Amino acid sequence: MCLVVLLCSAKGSATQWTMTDNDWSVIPDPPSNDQDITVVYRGDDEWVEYEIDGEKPVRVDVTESGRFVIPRKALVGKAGLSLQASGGERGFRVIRFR
Amino acid sequence: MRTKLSTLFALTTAAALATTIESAALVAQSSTVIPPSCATRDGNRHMTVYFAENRVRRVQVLIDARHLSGLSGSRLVRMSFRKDIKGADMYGRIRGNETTPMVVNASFTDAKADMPSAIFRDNHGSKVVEIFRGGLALPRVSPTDGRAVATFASTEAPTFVFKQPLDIVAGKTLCLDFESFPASAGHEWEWPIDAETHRVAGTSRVIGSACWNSKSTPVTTVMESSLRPGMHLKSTSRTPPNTAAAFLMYGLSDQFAFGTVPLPLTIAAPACQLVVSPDVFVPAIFFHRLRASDEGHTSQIVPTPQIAAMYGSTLYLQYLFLVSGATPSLATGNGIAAKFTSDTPTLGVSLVATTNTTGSSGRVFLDFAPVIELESR
Repeated sequence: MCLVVLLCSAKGSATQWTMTDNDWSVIPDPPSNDQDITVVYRGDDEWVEYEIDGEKPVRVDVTESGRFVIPRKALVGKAGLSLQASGGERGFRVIRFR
Repeated sequence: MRTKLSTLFALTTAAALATTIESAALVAQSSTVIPPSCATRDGNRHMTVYFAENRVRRVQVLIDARHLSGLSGSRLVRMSFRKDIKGADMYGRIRGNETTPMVVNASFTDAKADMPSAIFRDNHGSKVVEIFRGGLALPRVSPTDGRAVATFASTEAPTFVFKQPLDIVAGKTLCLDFESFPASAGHEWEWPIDAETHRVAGTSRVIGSACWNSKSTPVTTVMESSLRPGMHLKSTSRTPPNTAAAFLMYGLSDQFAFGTVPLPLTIAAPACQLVVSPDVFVPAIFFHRLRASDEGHTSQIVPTPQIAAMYGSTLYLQYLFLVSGATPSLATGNGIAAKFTSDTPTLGVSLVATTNTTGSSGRVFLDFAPVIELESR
């Protein structure tokens, strides 16, 4: 027998978070695509991924340090990127470059 | 002459007595590092949950009685965390004016460090003592550090001086219960502390494949270190473009659905197959990336019971998506056979943590410890 716990699903609204309790933060904030971006992950996953618009996702080991840098040359001309880990809303962030 | 002699005798006696008392106090004072394996080396992880700009957290640390047996005193009076050496660059934003408002309660309890409850109250003993309340100032430390390990000196270690001593109860687990409240220093900062974990992981096997052309495969993965009974099973998945709803199916088999229907079972074209029995069916929150027409992201964290039958057992899972378009359709991700570890906890320290300090429960992290020095008298 299938146990249907709930028959609804939810679309998140994690774009451009302003809450402080997201697991992600970036330096500088707001970020831009003409400089390096330092990404800080505060969750407890062992690895996370970032995905620059139109590119394949990149996996990063965060067991020793929750910080990593996305170089400017990878961002030039891009519309944005996403940062993703587990943890629902707190584990996901979309950044749009203006 | 007699007066002088008696005065001299009295002074000598007093001095000797003072020395004896001082010596006794020195002898009775002792400290221990938890976990003991980190006494002379940097731990293998760090934690930023305690100290950061505007951070709200509740973290319970359960410490097995065996780790306290070396303390000669009868009461705990002080504890310190330690700077993390491997992540020293993270201290670069510390200016020296950072403070974290905290309340720390503690008790000795029958709860087991190897098997904590996710419910905070259940981990405490009957006598809970508030050992700290106030703002904990974080020392300014160097972001470059060539040492093998930092010290517990208060100049470089966040230190709690107990407002009242905590009587040690031999043979019982120590439960330290930290609540951090938000405070701003006017800039983004975090003060990581050294931590140690015994990483134990289960294994996962991919079953089938997603039925859309994804940028990355497999689309669905599980965090293998989450495959420990008593912790939380963590899965993430890419979602197909134009996802309208996401669901996660947990099952007990990849051979038969509901015990009778052979798997895999094609449920939508092209080649969207059910590969696990959908015994439990739950909604999953999902996110679009820059555009709804991009692949998106979903994840699910679900607690698992710490019962003997879970060790070494296999659970199957698969995401199912409703995709919008001219005609709504279904799509399936790859399946996963997630096998839980057979190894039980060994570190003698575990955590229960939450970001909701008004909640009654948190997430359990087995074999995970902030590196702490405890001092007794």
